[in-house]
Amino acid sequence: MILVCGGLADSVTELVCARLEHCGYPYRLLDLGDYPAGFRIKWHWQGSGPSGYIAGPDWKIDLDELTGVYVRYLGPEGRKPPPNIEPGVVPAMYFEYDTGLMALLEDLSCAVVNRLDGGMSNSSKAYQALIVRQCGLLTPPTLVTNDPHAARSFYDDYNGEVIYKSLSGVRSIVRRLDQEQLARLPLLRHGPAQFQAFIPGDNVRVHTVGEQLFATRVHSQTVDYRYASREGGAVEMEPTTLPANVAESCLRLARQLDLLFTGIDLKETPEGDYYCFEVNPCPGFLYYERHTHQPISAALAELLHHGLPAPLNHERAMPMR
Amino acid sequence: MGNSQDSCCLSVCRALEARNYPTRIIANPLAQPPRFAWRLNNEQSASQLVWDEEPPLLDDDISGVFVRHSAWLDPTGWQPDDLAYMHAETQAALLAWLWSLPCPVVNRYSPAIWYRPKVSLLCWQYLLRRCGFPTLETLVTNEEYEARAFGQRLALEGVAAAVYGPLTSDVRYLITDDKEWNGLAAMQRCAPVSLTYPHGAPQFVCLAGEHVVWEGEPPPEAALLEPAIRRFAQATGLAFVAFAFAQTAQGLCVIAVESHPYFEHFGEGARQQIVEGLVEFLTADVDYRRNGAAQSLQGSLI
Repeated sequence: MILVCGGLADSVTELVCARLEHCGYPYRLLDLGDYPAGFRIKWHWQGSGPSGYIAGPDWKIDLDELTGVYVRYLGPEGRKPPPNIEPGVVPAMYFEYDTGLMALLEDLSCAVVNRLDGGMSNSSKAYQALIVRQCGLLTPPTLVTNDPHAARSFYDDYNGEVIYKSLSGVRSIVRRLDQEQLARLPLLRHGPAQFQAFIPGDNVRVHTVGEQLFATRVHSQTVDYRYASREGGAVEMEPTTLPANVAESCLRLARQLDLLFTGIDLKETPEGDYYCFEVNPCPGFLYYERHTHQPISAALAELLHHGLPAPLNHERAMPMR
Repeated sequence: MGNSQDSCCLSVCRALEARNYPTRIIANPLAQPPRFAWRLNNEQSASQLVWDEEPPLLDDDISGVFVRHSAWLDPTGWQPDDLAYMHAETQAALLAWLWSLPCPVVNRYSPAIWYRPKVSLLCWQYLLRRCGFPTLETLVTNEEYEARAFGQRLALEGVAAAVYGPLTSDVRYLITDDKEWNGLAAMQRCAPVSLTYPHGAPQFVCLAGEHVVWEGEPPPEAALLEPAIRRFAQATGLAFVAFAFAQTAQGLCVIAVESHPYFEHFGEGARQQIVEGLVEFLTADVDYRRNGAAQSLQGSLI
């Protein structure tokens, strides 16, 4: 039995449910838009991993029946506030709900896509860059600074071919550092920013699902193809094959971060080098699957239904590390 | 990296300076006055911190970092959204920079702990069990009869009350009589509740570098617990971590994990041992380099 935790209004969760349905794999949806309303739970820790159940309106599953869990936490906009609770208290209630669920998911022995701990690395792109280097992928020349002079010097070193973007998990549009932004460099004294040498070439989005890998080449003239339509640009995608060493590095990166499912952003330069920009622990893969028809959701369904292959299940990576 | 009023920071500073290691306390190396610049690529990682009129502090000049908090931003003059963004950016940069430094860092936190410094004890369960800690039975439920059954089982074991506490705070309530059980049931209509056994007075123990330091007389189980403490420290990469143990109807159990230990939980004697352990850890690399490679070092950054 598979447990899907997420909101049906979320198109990625909807796709996962649809794929499980299509594969004939039994699953239950813990709708986080409503949770805990409409659900009954008992999670009991008694000297070992949790036992107990989760029950919906017309179903009940024991925790030890689970072969896999897929989770996409919701922001406040996707949730129905609990009734008779003062609005000011609602965020604290959401925090309490999520904390309980996180504690459960951290401690289940089945495949969990993904446990929170592995995903926390995505809150620091610079931290991920250090891991990326260890895994044998290239990381773009990067500067993190609160010093306008250092930023200017970096800009000059790379002949003005420099982009800037957020360091943290806060989503930002990747933009070139232009004259207008150069004039604002003195504002850096208020806090740090991240600059990177612009890497020319094709974007390649890699999805790892357990030990499987799906690579998508993205053709776009814009700096950040995710926002191409806003800038009047077009995006074309096609399945692609990675060199064996790059593919192995991607899988190694996912294993190192204890992530069973990732979206890894690469760029292949005209010289054939692969740079890695970030690892997304909760990838919105729908966009890529629709464009390329790669069986990403089918692979995910297999992973959730059959559980982890023996080598992956042998010993879970230590959480909190 | 911490507050200049923090007693732990100050004690570590004094102990380092008494051994001729120059130190500096800074709240946030990424906020002015220092100018921070860190370049990273596949070949190198090189940072520098520059205070006016001083030579730059390079990676190799920093022989150790002691982290008491994850950075502080003065909110004055910031719009709330901008402050939240800048806080996230600062946290992200600091976490990575601390991992990039070649020197000892106490603690070099994993992202999971860096971003969730006060995580619920329940979230540590897997690791605590795996390291060999005795853990307390806990029930999370929104079913009234399951909660009542838990209370009745405790009563049969001679335990007069269950303990309710939100997972996101340290507040705890004893649930004893019908009125309190009814109140709990009302709460369960809004959220699952967490129930566990009551416990006696906590006893704190701290791992500081290689030292395991008990506050007060170690319990008889100390010899069994210390290997678990070391395993936990190794698994998490924490060189400075504290635990609270307490007697319960199920025996001595761990009731709290502090990834950012409260110095105040320890008396003067224990504090001295903690400081000793931290200083040894922070300077081990310097001593090695002094004795081995005879490299020159300018000091420790705290």
